[in-house]
Amino acid sequence: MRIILSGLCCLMLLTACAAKKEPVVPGIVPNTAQPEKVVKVLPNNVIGAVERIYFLPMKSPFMARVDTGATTSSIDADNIKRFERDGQSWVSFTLVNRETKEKMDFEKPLSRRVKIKRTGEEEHRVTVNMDVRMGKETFSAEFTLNERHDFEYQGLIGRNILSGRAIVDVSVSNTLK
Amino acid sequence: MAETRVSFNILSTLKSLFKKTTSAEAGKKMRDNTEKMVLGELEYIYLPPLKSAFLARVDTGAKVCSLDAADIKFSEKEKQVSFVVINRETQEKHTFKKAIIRNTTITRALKDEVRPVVEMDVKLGGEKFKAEFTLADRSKFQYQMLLGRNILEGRAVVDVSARNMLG
Repeated sequence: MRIILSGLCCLMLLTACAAKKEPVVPGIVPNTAQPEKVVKVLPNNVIGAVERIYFLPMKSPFMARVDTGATTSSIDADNIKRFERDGQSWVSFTLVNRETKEKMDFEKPLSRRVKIKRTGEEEHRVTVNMDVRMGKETFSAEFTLNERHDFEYQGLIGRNILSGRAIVDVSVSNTLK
Repeated sequence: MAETRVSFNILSTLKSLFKKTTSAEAGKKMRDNTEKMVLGELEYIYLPPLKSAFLARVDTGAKVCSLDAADIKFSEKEKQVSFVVINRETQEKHTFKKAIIRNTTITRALKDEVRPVVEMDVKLGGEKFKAEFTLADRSKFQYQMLLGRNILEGRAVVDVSARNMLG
């Protein structure tokens, strides 16, 4: 009888506990929670490790690695040629979507030349401003044109796009439509 | 009186059991976004027994963490490796001896590089855990360590507009 009673008592206590979930903490207990470090992630600005990006006006999306280690975003391009127009440096190039084979030629003013640091080598590459769409947001961002096509994904979304715009959760991917 | 004590005991053990499972789950498995730590683009990480922290680049583009190591010496039929980690800021150094988990090949334009991967004890934002690191010569890089997706997955989200979120 006693055992049953204690069992019942225990159950009741448990259910009460579960219902409350967070027990009321007396004021004297120091608050160990650190609110400034608690994530207040808005679900709509969390993106994953790999996301779709549209290079407007192209119709099909490019798969891109979201890379917080990259200062500038980059994209695979073919036929990268620099030329002069009205005394300004311009660059022409072709984007080919690896999956859909959609192809488009672009002509853009050269935004700047960047030095790419890798172990043992240094490369100079050109950057241009591209109109892109990610999810519902359309914006212009600087991209380095990449002539080596040996990466897993055609695009790289770097900190110039991510900063102030998105939070990266590598546990997920393809969150954007 | 005895009953209440018994029930209390049962309750406390049950409670502690419940706590244990939840904290164990939180160790690696998927966490709710609100439970993940927020990391900035640069964070301090500890490699015990080294006392001073390393400023590391949080790199979602890196599959595995990378660590600047010197004097990499292979021993015992290349199953073990010894290496020296020197904190660039404090000059504190420690020689580690670790089993090689696997070798990873880094694709480079000129020649491919083979690098050992070892498991290190780390402390990040008050949390202690083990993580795989690729040993590399990062002397030419700005930061001695990269925190890759193996550490970030299920544990943290990255907001590059911030840095040193963990203090």
